[in-house]
Amino acid sequence: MSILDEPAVAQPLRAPGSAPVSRRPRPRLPYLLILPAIVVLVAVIGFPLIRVVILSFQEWGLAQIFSDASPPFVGLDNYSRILSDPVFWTVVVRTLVLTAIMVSVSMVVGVGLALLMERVPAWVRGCITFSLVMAWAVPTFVSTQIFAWMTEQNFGILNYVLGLGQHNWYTDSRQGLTVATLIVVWGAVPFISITTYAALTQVPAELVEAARLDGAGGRQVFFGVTLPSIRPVLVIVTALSVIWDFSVFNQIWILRNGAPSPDYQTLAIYAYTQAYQGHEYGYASAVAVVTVLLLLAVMVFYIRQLVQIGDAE
Amino acid sequence: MKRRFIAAAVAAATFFAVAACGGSGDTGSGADAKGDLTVWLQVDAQTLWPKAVEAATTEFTKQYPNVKVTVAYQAWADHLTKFDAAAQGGTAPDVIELGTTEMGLYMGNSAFADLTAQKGDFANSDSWIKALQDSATYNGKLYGVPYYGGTRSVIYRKDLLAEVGVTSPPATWAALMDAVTKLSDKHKADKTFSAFFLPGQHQYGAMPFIYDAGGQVAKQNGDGTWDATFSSPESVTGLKNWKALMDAGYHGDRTINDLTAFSTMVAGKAAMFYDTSGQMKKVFGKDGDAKLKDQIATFRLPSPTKADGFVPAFMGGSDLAIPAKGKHKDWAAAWIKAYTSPAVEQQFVDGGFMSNTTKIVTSDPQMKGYVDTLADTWTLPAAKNWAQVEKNKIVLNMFADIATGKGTVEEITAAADKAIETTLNAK
Amino acid sequence: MRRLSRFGYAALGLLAAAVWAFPVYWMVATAFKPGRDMYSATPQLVPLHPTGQNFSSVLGDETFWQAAGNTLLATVLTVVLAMIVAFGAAVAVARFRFGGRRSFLLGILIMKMVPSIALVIPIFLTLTEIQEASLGTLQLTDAVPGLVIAYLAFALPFAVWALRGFVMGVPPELEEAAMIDGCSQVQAFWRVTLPLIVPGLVATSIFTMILAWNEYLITYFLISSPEQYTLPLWLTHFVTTEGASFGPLMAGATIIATPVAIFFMFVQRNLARGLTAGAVRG
Repeated sequence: MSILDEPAVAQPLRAPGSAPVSRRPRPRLPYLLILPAIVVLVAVIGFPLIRVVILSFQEWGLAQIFSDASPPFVGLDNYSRILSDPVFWTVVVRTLVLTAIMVSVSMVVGVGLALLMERVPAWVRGCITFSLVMAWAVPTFVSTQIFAWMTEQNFGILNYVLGLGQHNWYTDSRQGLTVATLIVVWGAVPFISITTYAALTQVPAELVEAARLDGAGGRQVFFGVTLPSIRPVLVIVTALSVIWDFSVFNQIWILRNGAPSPDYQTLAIYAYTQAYQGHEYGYASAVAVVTVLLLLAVMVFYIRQLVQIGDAE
Repeated sequence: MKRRFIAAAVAAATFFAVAACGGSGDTGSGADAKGDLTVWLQVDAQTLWPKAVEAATTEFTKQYPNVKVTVAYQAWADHLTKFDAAAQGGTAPDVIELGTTEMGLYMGNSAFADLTAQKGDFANSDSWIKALQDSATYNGKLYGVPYYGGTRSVIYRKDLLAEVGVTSPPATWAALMDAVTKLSDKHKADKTFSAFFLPGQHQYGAMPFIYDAGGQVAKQNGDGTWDATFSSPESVTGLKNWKALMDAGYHGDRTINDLTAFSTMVAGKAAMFYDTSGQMKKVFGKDGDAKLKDQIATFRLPSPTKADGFVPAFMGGSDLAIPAKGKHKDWAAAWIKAYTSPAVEQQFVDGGFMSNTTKIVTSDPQMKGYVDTLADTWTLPAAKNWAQVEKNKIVLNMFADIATGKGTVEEITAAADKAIETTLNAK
Repeated sequence: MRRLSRFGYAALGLLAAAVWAFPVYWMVATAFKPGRDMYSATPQLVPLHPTGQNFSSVLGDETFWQAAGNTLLATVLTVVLAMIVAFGAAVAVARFRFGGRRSFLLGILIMKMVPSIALVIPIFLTLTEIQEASLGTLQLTDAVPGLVIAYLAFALPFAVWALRGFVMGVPPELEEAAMIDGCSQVQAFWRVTLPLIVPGLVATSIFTMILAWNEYLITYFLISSPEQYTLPLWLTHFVTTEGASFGPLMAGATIIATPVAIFFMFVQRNLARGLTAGAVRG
């Protein structure tokens, strides 16, 4: 147990022995500090989110938009429509499996790359980071198109390099989704690696030295000193990856020319084709609420960890 | 003299208008009208005929000199959702372009102004292409103005066909299949060569065969409900003909759509494909090889069921509509009138498409295949929910399944029909 | 032995850099190819007949420069504001225990979970209403300020959580030492903590910059006038019913990615500063 296992000590609001001058404004300080963030988030996402929840209990489509009629409340109709659709459950399972694969591969490769970045000469590290940032900067609708070209049946470079002739990567959805996973991982690793690397540089060197002096080998140093130190950052990066990968849309949509067959449908695609393109915004909002609830369920254990880091007493 | 009079009238009317209404500013009609007109066109207009848009606005400004016209070009993805948001938020445009297959849903929900009484105001309205007019008609009333159209015909490379001794375009199905066989034989060793590029998700390549065999995609019953008829015997026959052509001539990914046909032809790996004039122009345009321009020609797709007949082509294109919630319907109608005037429609034809009327057609010999199709075109049924059927991708996936042989044509179409009917007949 | 493993690491690193760079390279190479070479049957790894016509059609388009200006303004404002606001919130949740802290952290994470497509219309409507309520003083729709506020909202959840993690890596003794020397708490955060988490700030600012630079969906809904377009909106005008015009599209995407490269060059030296023994001793 090193000092790094202790969370940053939460400043008690009435610390004895501290300068009395700062005692009175101090209780308000944290609230002032988070106020700007709260204002922006509540205005842009908070209120709209409340609207989404309310909408999920209403029927709101073109008929209501164009007729000035106020949308009727239909109770749980939208929800029962979703939950009674057998396709919905297949899609959820597929999304969960796909998310698990995408996140684990991205994290392993991303953290591995970050560790590698620590150990290479500075110029190599510069090359890697530059490559990663460029890959990160390419928008998904461009990168997916590039991967689609590379995996094209007749003229794609992948078949050419692997000597596969005219292999079609998309008739079998498992192969097609593998390509989609590759695109997602390719796009996600830069963010994971760079953020993790930044955290790695903050591991106090003297702790590593101390552990080494105590006879710890590379692995023990990693698990005993490094990992606990970067854990808060790793945890949020993983959480964000789960959230993003759960909602992957462009990579599969564009890869399948805007018409993915049922085998390729994830929750985001299902929501889009069933709800948004039908202009049924009440139904679509219910799907969004169900998506958030599913994500919360998936991450409940994780979220406890997230919040507890910094609380351990 | 007239100008000065108008200017004086404008000045006087503006003075009175401002004095009278103090705040809103969007008032009046005719020369004293003042305000903003918002037009939503698709990005195609920006790329293909920006000058036509300018011409229309100039013409409009002669009649309404104080109305500021803003043309905003929309991307195809999500433009309808944006329209919904704008309508809800009170900022709907005054004129909006919609694809012909997108109109039904909005017309069915009373989104657009009824233009039946004003039909005569628009140029050439008595000779509008029927399929285009049908796409803008709902329950007998007109809710849009046909803007431009587009059909499909066979595009081929003269040099590749000449290599196997075919020097004039095939006029019958037998001749076409003969050409396909000759081409496939000549290029046997090249597994990436397609005599006829015809993939599975090319829906407007498949559907015409249904209509050619006497079938249709959906039929409305007396009680107003719809039956999807992809599995009717005629439709099945048509689809089998389609598949026969694909099996004979296409070697490539069957799950894709037609957007890579032109590039395959540029690379010399496709001798023929069936598509719009826009795709034809891409073969020798900026994204293609300009040297091929003289080698490209078109012919109308011959019918496999009628010895001297041709496959009826799908008439696509766009219409212009006036949202019912718009504040300036008169101005909108005037702008649309300017934009669909004969001079401007000619620019659409010059841009490689079809005008909204049978009277204005191109004389470009390269476009012969397209002009010939005008004799017999069809459009999708005016079902309120047909757009949703498309968005669910049921039809596209059905075609892809048939193409990749995931079952018999009868089985696949029967299953698809059931799914389509559920959507078509949803409230 | 050491030298071999160092060499091995370097080689592995360069391989990783090449793998990640390849699709970007393909994008740039395609931008230099004329149409007929883009689709040649044997893929051209290096453009055999490079042409500048795709780039000149992009750079000669005045709407491109207008969109570039809008995007630059919106992005710079977003990154600067996001870093300030997120840092403040991060130190608050990392250093203080206050009522509502956990709800705040959880709440912003939940906000991140909502699929953006579900939010676009409600966001558009809410911002329109706020604009009307403020009688037009707050230009939120169809203007850069609205975009900045929206991008801020999308960037803050991750920024706050990430910076919190970085702040937690700084021992609070350092701030206490500064306060004993006479700083107020806020000054301690500003003078002591902030410099020590510069790598974290850099990583988070890259994330925010790319988010703002490439954000398409909410921008499409908020912006109606062509003069207010941003670069991602401008890029989509190459996709028509006849498919995408790949030459100009790839050239446009390449040009759009360039400022990100430049930004990165400026900040990347700071990605690697870590705590040193000197800092710990004060």
